[in-house]
Amino acid sequence: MAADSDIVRLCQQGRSEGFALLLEEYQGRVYRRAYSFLRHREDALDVTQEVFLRAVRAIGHFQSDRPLWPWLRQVTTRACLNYIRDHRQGPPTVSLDNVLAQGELAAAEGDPEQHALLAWDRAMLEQALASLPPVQRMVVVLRHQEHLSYGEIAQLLDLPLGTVKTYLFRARQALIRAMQQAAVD
Amino acid sequence: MRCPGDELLQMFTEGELDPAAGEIVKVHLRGCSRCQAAVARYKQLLWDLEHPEEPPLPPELVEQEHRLMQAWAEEHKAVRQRRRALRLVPAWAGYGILWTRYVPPVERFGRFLSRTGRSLLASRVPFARRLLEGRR
Repeated sequence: MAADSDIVRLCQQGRSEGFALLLEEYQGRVYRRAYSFLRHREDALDVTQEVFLRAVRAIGHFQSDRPLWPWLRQVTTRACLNYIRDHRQGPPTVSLDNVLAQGELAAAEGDPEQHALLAWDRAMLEQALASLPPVQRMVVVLRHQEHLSYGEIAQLLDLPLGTVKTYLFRARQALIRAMQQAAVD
Repeated sequence: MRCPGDELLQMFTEGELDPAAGEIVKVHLRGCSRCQAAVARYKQLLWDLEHPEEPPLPPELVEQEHRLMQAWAEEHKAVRQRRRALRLVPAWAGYGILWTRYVPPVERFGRFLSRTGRSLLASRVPFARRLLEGRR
């Protein structure tokens, strides 16, 4: 695994190995984060490409002693926010293939009954997450997967601190309700 | 004591409450099964959210990597050209200084030309006259 400072230094020298390393280390991570925000495969691919096209132009001015992920995360988050604003649409749905694939993957490892249940829970949670309003989903992901503080989320999404707290509370209530409803059904 | 609201219970589960408020909620939880159940649900939810199933990486990322490498090559070709042009700036500046310092100003150059022209004409006019007279 290449150090961030080496990647930045090589990129700033104009060497293509540096950019290849940047893609190797972060392309998958950026895609996954974009996917967790947008819950749509093609949209996440578009955003990933946009993030790295920006990186091509901006990495020349990047301070080599700073870590790359917070910067890439910020660019990804902003790109996803813009994407959501430009393509306002109804809540995306979780593809059935994904749910089935997760079930098969889980069943292949260890106790099939336990894993089928776990996969079913996961599928319900995925569906509930996908049905959240996009900005609320972004707040949840930044809080629970990126482990950012309320203040950092507010700064990143350009929202007041109170709004971040409210969004988090509402999103978690909605997730609990959706999962309870699914359990009753 | 009345049950704390859901927002407070969520913050308690996350450890975001200040210590004094946290103590009050803790005391309440000892005697309230409804709030205990709510906190258990939140704990489960937070655990599930913090351990997500990573989506598989799509094969299109490989193709995208090639496109991005091309974009990088094009951008850096342009950057190299700009740098090369900038490197010539001192040479152009020196050439400019030499030109203004050692090449005679336009006026002087013009005067030089007109003087040469006049003398050439003066030298050629008698010759032309002689030629014409000879023909006659």
